[in-house]
Amino acid sequence: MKVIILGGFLGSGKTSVLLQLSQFLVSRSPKEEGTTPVVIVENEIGGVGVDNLLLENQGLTVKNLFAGCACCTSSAQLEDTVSFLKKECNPHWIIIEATGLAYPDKIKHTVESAFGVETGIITIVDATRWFRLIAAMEPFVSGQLENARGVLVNKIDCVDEACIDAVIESLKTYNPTIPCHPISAITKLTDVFWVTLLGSLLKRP
Amino acid sequence: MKHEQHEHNGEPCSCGHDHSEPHQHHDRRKDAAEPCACGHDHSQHPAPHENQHEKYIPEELSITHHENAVIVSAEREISGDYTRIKEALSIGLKSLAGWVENQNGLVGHIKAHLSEKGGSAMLSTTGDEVQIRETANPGVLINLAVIVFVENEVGLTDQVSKMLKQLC
Repeated sequence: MKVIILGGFLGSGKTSVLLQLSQFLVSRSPKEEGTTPVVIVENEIGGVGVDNLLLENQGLTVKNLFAGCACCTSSAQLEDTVSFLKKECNPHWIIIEATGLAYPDKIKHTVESAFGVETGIITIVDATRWFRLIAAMEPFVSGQLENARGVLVNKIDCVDEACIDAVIESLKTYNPTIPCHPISAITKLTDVFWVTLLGSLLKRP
Repeated sequence: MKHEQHEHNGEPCSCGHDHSEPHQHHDRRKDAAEPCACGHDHSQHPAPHENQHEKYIPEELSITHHENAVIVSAEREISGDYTRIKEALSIGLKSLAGWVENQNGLVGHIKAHLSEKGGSAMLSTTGDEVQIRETANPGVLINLAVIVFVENEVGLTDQVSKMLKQLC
């Protein structure tokens, strides 16, 4: 079992990326009896879920973690949830969609400490709002980049080239070595893209 | 007992809670007549502690807080035509986002999920032909999640309530 955490601020496009990522992982996972290719943990800060309904309608296995944030107030529940899924579903992959208010690195720490599994963070940023968010809440938004194996600069269909370059330049000031991938999550992301992004995570133990 | 509400990472905190006492999550109506039995001294809590108490307000909205964000959630079934409600809600969400911006707030996200409800049928038989009674009751189940950063929380809930009322 391996774990991928999708982080990023509210409205950055995590769910759109998740839909594509889960399809990619399902297509690559071996069909073994008694296992589930991909299970999604959907964390919502509020008591009512919206994204989980969309994901369930796509036929995905979704476990909800509502009314709290898995990086802080619901970290204990996250451990319980992953433990339950490991036992009940025996998944090849668990994708945790963090709340837009979470620090993904804290979730990674919780999962790795409790289960000792390989865990990767993908952070999604909204190219159209990056500078506004940085101006309003820099420590928080930049904190979401911590320990990410890649940043997806989303919504590039809504901005020009100069804006994309400026966002990437800004991202590099917080983490000079972080790989940045401009994307539009509403268009199909290729298998080559995912292989490049996930790299060693895709290797079977 | 572990204090679950804050992560202080071993550093001394200034949140105002007495960490020597057990701290359990609990729902408490803010306007409840009965005193809270959670063991905390609420008189010493700074305003942010209200974040731990989910407030229930009219119109079946629930409000919670996280960091500086206000989270308004609602689940409601509304009778009527799916397309009409969808289009009205689309206008309502846009208007709500505009209101937040006008308050110098920041929209985190405003999301809704609509599920169409339609007819129902009851099938019965005593051995002869199967009787079918159908009823048509078009409607929509709306799940709404609003996460914004705005100071005027009362105004926000008014806006959301008004938006939902306009769908009926």
